[in-house]
Amino acid sequence: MPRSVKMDPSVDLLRDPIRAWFLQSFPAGPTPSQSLAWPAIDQGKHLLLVAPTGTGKTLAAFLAILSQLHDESARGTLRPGLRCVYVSPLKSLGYDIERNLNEPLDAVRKVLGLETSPIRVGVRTGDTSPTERRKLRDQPPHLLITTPESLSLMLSQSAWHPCWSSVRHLVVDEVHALVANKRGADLAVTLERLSAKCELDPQRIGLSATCRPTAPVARYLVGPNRVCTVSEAGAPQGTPPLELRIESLQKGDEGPNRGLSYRRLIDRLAQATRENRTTIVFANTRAFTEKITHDLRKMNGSEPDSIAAHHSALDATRRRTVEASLKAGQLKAVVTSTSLELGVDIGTADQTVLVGLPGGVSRCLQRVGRSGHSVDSATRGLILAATPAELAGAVVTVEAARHGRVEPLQSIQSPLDVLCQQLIGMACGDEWSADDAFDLVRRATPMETLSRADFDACLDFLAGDLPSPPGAYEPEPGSTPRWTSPRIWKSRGLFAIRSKQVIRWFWSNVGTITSEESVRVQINGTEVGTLEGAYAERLQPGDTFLLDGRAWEFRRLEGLTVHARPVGTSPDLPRWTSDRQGLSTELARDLAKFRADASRKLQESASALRSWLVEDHDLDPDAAAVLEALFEAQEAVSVIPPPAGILIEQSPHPEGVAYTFHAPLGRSACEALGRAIAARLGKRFGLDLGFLVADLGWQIRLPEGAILTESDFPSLCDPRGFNEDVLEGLDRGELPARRFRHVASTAMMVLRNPEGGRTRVGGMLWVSKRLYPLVKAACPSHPLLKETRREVLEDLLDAPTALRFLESRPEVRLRVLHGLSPFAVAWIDPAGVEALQFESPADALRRLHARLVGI
Amino acid sequence: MITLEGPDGWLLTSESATYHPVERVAVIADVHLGYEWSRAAAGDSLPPHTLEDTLTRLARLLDAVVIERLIVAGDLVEKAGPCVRTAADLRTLRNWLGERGVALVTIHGNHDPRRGPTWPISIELAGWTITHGHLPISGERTMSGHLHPVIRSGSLTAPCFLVSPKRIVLPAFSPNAAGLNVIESRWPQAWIAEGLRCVAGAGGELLDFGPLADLIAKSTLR
Repeated sequence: MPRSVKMDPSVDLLRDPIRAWFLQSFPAGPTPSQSLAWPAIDQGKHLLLVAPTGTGKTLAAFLAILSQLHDESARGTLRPGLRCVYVSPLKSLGYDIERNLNEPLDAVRKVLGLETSPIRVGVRTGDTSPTERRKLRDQPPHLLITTPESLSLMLSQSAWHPCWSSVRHLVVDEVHALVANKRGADLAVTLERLSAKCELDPQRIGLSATCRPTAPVARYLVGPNRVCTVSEAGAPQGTPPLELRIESLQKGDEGPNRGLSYRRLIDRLAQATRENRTTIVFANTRAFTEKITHDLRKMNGSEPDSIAAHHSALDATRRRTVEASLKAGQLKAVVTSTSLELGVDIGTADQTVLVGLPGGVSRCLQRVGRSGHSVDSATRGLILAATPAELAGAVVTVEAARHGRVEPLQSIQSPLDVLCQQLIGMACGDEWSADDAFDLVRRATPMETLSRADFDACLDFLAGDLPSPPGAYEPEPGSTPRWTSPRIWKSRGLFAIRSKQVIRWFWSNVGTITSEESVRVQINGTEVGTLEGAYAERLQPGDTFLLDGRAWEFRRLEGLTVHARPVGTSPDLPRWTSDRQGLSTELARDLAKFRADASRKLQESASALRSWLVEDHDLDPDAAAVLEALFEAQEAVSVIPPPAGILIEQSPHPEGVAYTFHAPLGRSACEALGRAIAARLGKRFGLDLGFLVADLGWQIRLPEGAILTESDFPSLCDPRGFNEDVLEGLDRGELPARRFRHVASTAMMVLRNPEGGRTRVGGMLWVSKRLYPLVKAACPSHPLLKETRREVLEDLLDAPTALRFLESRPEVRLRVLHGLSPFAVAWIDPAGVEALQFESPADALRRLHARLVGI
Repeated sequence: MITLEGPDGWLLTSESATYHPVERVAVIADVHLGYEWSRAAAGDSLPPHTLEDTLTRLARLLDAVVIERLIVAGDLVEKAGPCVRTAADLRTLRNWLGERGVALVTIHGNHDPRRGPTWPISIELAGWTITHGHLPISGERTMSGHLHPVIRSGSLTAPCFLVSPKRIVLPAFSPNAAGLNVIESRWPQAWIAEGLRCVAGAGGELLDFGPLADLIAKSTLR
């Protein structure tokens, strides 16, 4: 190393032999995140390390800890036992880390001339075998790599209790992906349970991709009662800037043509795989991932296996194989839904292609960051937009991404379903006093505002103590429990779990990740992956479907396993589901402004709009022409929505009349405003209606004869009574029932994996259709109903923004059209209509009869 | 309660039952009593409700008809295996009917207990064979359940009868049963050729929706 280069002094905080290994492997010295991390770790402070993906954060945390451990080992003071717990939300990331750690450990071992490394590393996830689990428990390694769910499980097992006291460090990776969801809320409580069992409060080290502001993320990591140092490292010097381009699959002023756009998509992807060594393609949905993989493989006839699919419904072994091949540079392309978004080291891909929108800036940066993963090669991203709406969304996404405007993160407030699961986990391992449990749980940021009343209500629910309907039949008084299957025993301020059966239920159902009902797919006895249950039930022998990028013929569905065999012919084209994922609130705001600005430019002239798109927004002329065509078409058929107002378009519909509303609001505010207006229309006409929502608008479908006029506007847009009408619009529809299904499984009111296994598909549908109304009737104040309402109103809807919009007295315009306007077609996906019920079932039946049979 | 005429003196009612005034018999199917105990054994926590629901609806039915026998065409209970609570609920049901002068007659369905006194597979009544429907049905005129036919539209799910001059398929009496959407299902040609009609009920109303073949044809046009 040239003497003129001065090594960053932080490297001296590492001790040999780790220090020597580091300098040998990374002669350029520490990255900015490493040089910031090591002093803080050395001082024993809680630390949040924020840095872009792939800049050495994980190594920063581990090397500091490994260095300390080796030091003790050299001095002969290292005792066996757990010293560090590393938690990652991704199972495969855990295995990856283990592989990466073995490199320095092995190198150091050789230097020291030892047979085995003095530092032991172990991995415990859902995939770990029972033998391996026992070994880990009987002889805990120094470093344990695990997932949030496995950690919660281990903490609930009394056999593990003695192992935690020696833990000194907690490392949480990908913190930004945990802060704002229930999985993160669950982990936060788990970390408190762990810390409580340690002799000394362990040092917490959080690793996060770029986030802004950082304070809420730090607060999430350490809780409201601890102090956290935040270190933000930029990208290392010499890192090339982000390259992000947009291409439109639609050209010029041709109308939307799904088949044509799809063919162009496959051609463009094939071109990308030819031009790059390795390409990663993000397709958002599993079905689309499968379709693209299948067709790309066909185009790559000579080497079909160089194109692979990767998503969570594929068998774990298969996924691991794909990851390894990708890292070894053996694959030309990997197509994924979202499963490769986080961390796993997959080597250097040359380019990331996003088909459709990622939905938010953080996700965009994460995905694009998957290419150029080595510290000195550029990250290159390409967004392919299939429709004008996607194109507009891409423009605002790219601009926000270029400025690093990531979405702010906020913890969820007091999720009661997560609390219920945590209480079960706690009670599995110990007997608790309610007071102590309440105090412990509140040390986690997501639970800091939890009320004692809600806490007690959850304990009551778990003990089966909530009221049954009045007059509920009890054939033998006292012998029938109020609610079936109480989980915990509760008495005199104490609670615990006595039943081994309940403990087993917890172990097989721990976690908050909810997926729709799925069935396994077996080809000649080999597991390939899973299919959505509802989809599998509709298949008939001979139907073909896609999985793992290949076509299979359905033979039969036995219980929860689909038996199929390979076919040569390609299957039918499933419906093209262009991405209708909602944009983040911030991006939706940008999109509304973009649409308003574009319409103002169009008022000046078409060429003003065109040059604004090309010069100010860096679009190529083809893409600009597509947007220009959309705006001109809208102006011709209807009118551009007033920038700060609402446009209502009336158009005929096979079952009556459709009202499409355009407003400058993101999806969650549209949900609130749309439902309030739907409630008002429902009460006005007394008829069932259909409801669709999207970014920048919503659609309400009414039966024949329900006509709106200008005189209706004031009452529809009245800010008074808004919140009540939002609630009404929710309760009349299906959204709360759908969310209740997830809340009930997280809280373990119903088990996703019941005792004896599920024998029938469709069990969870019963939860929204039947259990939800039963619970509402039996116990309206049930904590899980409260949680469902909280989740919908706080996490899914944005009523305050919608109300503020109404209070600004927006201008309202009405247009009566012969069909859907170009804006309506562009922004509102006709699939996924939700029914809002305003009629009695008898009236609805009569109307259906009149429609189908005629009077 | 509303009734519509079916074949051979049978009436179809808006309480998911068929009624034969001359024989003083009513027939229901797929009650699935004790559904909550079955889900409880698998680990779910829910309020008990099937007994109360069943008695409330039978009370409405008995208010409107005069019968001496209530025939349950299979799947009276949810759990085929022994279940103390379901057995207790069943005793209560039998006694409740007995107090009102109605005898409970059971036919064996795929969910019903396999051990203990065996219930018959089918019963002959007024020239009709009443059976559950999970096994192949033989007989000139048959009445069965098992399929849980419904019509769906928007938020409305209406249990329905499928009726032809020689066949009646009963809707599920229990709302817990997952319904089979008649418009989206495939039916044996022989049934369609019989002129099978769909009669659906909701909220106390009962309406004849006409030939199933026409309903299916109309829906594929959309």
